[in-house]
Amino acid sequence: MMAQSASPTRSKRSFTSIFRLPVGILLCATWIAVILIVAIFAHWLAPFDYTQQAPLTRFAPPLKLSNHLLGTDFLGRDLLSNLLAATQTTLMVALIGGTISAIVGTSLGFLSAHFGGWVDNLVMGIADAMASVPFMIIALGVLAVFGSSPLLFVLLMGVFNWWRYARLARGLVLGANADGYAEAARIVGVPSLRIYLRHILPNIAGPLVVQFTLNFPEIVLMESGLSFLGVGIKPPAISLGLMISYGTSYFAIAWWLVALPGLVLVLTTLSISLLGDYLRDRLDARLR
Amino acid sequence: MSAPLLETRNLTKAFGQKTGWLAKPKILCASSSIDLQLNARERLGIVGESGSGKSTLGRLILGLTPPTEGEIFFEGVNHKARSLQGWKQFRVRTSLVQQNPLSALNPQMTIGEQISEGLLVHHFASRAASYERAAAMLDQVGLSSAMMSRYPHQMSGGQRQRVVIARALILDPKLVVFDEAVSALDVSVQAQVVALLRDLWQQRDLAYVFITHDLRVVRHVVDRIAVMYLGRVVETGDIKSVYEWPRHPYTRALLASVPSMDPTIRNIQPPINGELDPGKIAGGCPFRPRCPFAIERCGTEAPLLRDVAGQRVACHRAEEFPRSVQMGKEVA
Amino acid sequence: MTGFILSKAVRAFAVLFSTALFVFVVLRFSGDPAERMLGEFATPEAQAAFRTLWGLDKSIPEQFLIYLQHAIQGDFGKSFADGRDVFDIITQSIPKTLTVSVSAFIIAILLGIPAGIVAAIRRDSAIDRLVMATAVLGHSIPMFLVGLIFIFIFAVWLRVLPSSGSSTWRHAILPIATFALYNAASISRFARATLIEVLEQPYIAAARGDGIPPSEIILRHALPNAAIPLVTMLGILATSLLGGTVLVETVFAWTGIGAQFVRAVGQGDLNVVQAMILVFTVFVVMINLTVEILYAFLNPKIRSQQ
Ligand SMILES: Nc1ncnc2c1ncn2[C@@H]1O[C@H](COP(=O)(O)OP(=O)(O)O)[C@@H](O)[C@H]1O
Ligand code: SF4
Ligand SMILES: [Mg+2]
Repeated sequence: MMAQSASPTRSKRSFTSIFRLPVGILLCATWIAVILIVAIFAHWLAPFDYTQQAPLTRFAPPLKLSNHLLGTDFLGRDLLSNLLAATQTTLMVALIGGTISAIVGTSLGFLSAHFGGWVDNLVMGIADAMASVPFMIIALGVLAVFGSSPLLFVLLMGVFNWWRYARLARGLVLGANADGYAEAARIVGVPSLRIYLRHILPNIAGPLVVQFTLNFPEIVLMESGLSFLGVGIKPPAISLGLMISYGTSYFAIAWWLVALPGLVLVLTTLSISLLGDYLRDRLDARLR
Repeated sequence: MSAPLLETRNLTKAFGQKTGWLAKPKILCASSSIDLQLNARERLGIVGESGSGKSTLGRLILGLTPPTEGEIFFEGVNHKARSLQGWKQFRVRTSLVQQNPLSALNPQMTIGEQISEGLLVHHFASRAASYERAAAMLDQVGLSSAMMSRYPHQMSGGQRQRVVIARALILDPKLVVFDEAVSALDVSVQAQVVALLRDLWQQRDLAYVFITHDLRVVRHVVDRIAVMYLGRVVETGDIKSVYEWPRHPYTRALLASVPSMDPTIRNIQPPINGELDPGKIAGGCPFRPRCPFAIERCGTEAPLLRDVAGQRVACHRAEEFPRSVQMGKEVA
Repeated sequence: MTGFILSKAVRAFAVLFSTALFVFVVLRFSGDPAERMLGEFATPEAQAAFRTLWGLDKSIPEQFLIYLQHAIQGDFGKSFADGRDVFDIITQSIPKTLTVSVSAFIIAILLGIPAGIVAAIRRDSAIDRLVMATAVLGHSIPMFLVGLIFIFIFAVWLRVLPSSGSSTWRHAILPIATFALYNAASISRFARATLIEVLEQPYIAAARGDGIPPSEIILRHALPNAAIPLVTMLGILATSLLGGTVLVETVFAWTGIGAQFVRAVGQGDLNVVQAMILVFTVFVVMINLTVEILYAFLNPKIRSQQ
């Protein structure tokens, strides 16, 4: 089962098949590439400092002023510059949070599978509990008690989805252990840590990566939701959710303040989740 | 005679089977009071139907699962007394060949990496030297060293099993457990691998525990055989004498059910009826529900392994069964 | 069966109790309530009086017992923000939340399950494509954005509905619509997937082979078997609905517990936050309990244990 999806010729195969990708997936990939470049180079790409206010040119609609391509907001700040900075923040938070989730969850899943017994019960019990409680509420509660800070917020995004990785990794490790090659390594005296890192991890990386792409939009949505509610990213920093939140008050007179960040947000989550679905269908039957 | 290479005493492994929520787990003995001895360079076959506990016995011997009761000695050292260092040494001196060579090989690593890994992790050789030794090992199992850079999916089933054998032997172990090592292969490939196992044994200081349900194969590989039924050894003895004159009804049934090359006797109905139900055998002989020769005593008193004409048999009526001409012919 | 329900109920209580304890302890260790309540410039005498009044001079376990005692009587203290009784805030906002979320949930089920069934039976039809497309979109659009779009269409552009507030039933329409549509998307996708899986089972093929009409196959064979995963999924959805109230109610300024919770969090109104968390926990626990009991009724294996 694993052998087919995990063959060494895979890289070769996917290289040649780039030209056979469905158009939709190509579009998604292109958008993700664009958005990543934006996220990395936001600073250099932005025509203005995104916090720079200009009282005289408030509420300029897109394409009206030549120097403010996407218009300005209620303080006369350049919308394009804000959008670039917001995209950067949103993606950064999701990327860091997602990575923390993946590392913590996967490690706990490995521990669970390795030790079994009460360790397994404990980890899976917490995972079940996390899965059955709306995380939005937990996050709001935590932010209420400890006050909102960027570090805490990113950490929160980092624990949002760990349990998915823990469950997945645990199942995959148990499967790999039953598969024989792990035992075969154990039998010649390969240490456990090496078995997990050198033997099992490369074999289960596919589904974990797919899980990452499936979780990424969820984190983006969670981040924007909390920022929209005013407890996530706080000014002077800016995120897509926060931009939408600002725009809400002027919705009736300046639709673009909501529409543009909303569009970027949706296109990004949509592209990544379509790509994730595609990868899952192509690479991995176990996640379905 | 020196101490045996491997010895098990009263070896028992019980699995709890959860049948329901809060239900008391049902205990299932996958291996029950097994006493075995294996000398250096000896080859022991373990046969029995699927579910009789052969694999569990193999895993117990290799310390992959702890016994519920009993002891295992390897080179005179009790598993329970083995230090971490001792286990490391044990891993070097023993090995396992599993049934399915495809799943036993890591799809993400080359053949060379996998065979040489044992040498590397024990620091027996540098990377380059270990690769050389792996290539030499490949040669010994009849594969070209050009295979070193291949991946498992690029090989045939027989080639993969040779790779698995090469990996098992690279550390020069004293004992190898083969768990259905050839059962998944085509008959023609089986014969080649069996021949390889005989050759390797000739050349090395090596003992085999050869686990299989296939009675046709086992006699070409081993010196001695132990027949298992529901986790117990019911008969053991020299391979030749057991095949010539099986003393336990279960062994006799197994041998009779081996398809014969002679068409006139191919259709003998195996006398094994009834299902394997470990739950039914409390007290008395475990084989009783399926035994056509069961008498009253069989229901009340469990037969112990005892000497019967040079074999050890766990049956009250062991002496009564004739040397079966049919069976002797069948498997000859 | 009663034993089963009883054991689940006991566990539910344990969860509730430990949440209360956990939240209490975290809050007590994260800052001095007297200082929080009175401000850091209150005189030491005033602070001491406050502590005696609320039993804050006692040990933490004692305090927790006092808190429980009060809580059972419906006394959760007063809001730091406006001095209202927390209990009043809760009892006034719960009906509002239930109005929106329960009706949205029911509409979502009534929309989503038939859509999912039709999509599963007519694979690749227009309905199937629509179901899949909405479901994918639903996974990618934040709910508050859906709400804003609705506001834009119906309040700003068409001017047929009020944009926000919670005074009349007309105010409830947009939040319910947002919520219902959002959840119908995931219900239909899941119902579709589950039914497709069931329809591929051998016993369905056997039933077809016996010449049983398709409608009968769906109603008598496929749906009962799809029911268990569906109920599990609806349970998960119901809890996520709770998370969603926070966003929907805020967008539409609908003064249910979700919006109140957000307000309290934003203002550091910890008495309200603490009580609200308990309210949410009660809901989560009740939903999970319901799902487990439903599950037991639907599953012949558990049901048959007397
Ligand atoms: N990890 C386990 N947990 C529970 N039961 C097991 C486990 N491993 C084996 N068994 C049971 O022990 C019995 C013997 O299994 P096994 O040793 O694999 O037999 P064989 O190799 O002869 O087919 C079987 O009934 C099997 O179900
Ligand atoms: S002891 Fe009795 S039941 Fe058991 S094998 Fe011998 S004859 Fe059959
Ligand atoms: Mg076996």
